[in-house]
Amino acid sequence: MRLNGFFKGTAPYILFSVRVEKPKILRQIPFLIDTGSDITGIAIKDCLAMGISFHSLGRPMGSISGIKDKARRWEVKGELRAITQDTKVERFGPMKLYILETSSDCPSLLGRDFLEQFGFRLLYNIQRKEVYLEN
Amino acid sequence: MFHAHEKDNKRNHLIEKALIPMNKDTNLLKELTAGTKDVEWISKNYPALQKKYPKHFIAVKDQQVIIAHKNLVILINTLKKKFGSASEFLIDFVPDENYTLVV
Repeated sequence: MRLNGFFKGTAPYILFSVRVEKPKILRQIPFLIDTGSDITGIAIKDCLAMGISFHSLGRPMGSISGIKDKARRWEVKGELRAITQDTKVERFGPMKLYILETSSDCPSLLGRDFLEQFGFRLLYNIQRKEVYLEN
Repeated sequence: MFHAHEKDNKRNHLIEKALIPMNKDTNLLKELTAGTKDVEWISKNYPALQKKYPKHFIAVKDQQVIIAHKNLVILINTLKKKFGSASEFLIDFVPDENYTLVV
């Protein structure tokens, strides 16, 4: 199976429709494919757009450390949905996702946990400026 | 006759039941296809967006920037006021050309 990604500048992204029951999240989110991250997390801008308040999430489940700073995180269970290259909808989950209290310019992250759980490899075609996940 | 009618009802019910997930997938496919067009549009126009909206948050729908603002909360509140919700818009941060993403 192949899922097409896209570049923003030089950074690889991929679009998923995210579904979480509690708190209610149903949204299309572009994820930065971050092989340096061991978790998949939803960034603050996507939470705010869904009207999620951090106060309503209860106690955070620790934090995630970046190069600049630490961000509190909350664990949720959800499902990611994407279109495959042959235009079929594929569902990935249920899987552990985190809501991240990052700075507002930080994107949502697709980490190694997703790649490992579903057996995906990140592939580039530099000449054609293409990026995709393949399993 | 009654028996046949009942059979028809049962068959219709089964068809409807089978179609629900199909319709769900059709809707999801439509949404994801529209979303994919928007992200592809952002990707293609990224250098131009960086020039026009450096260090701004943008709300994109149907391959158009609907609103841009430096403050994310103001952008989301404006979307809510104008459209009732911010959930249908792709919200993205556009860095300037010197920005380096460190995660």
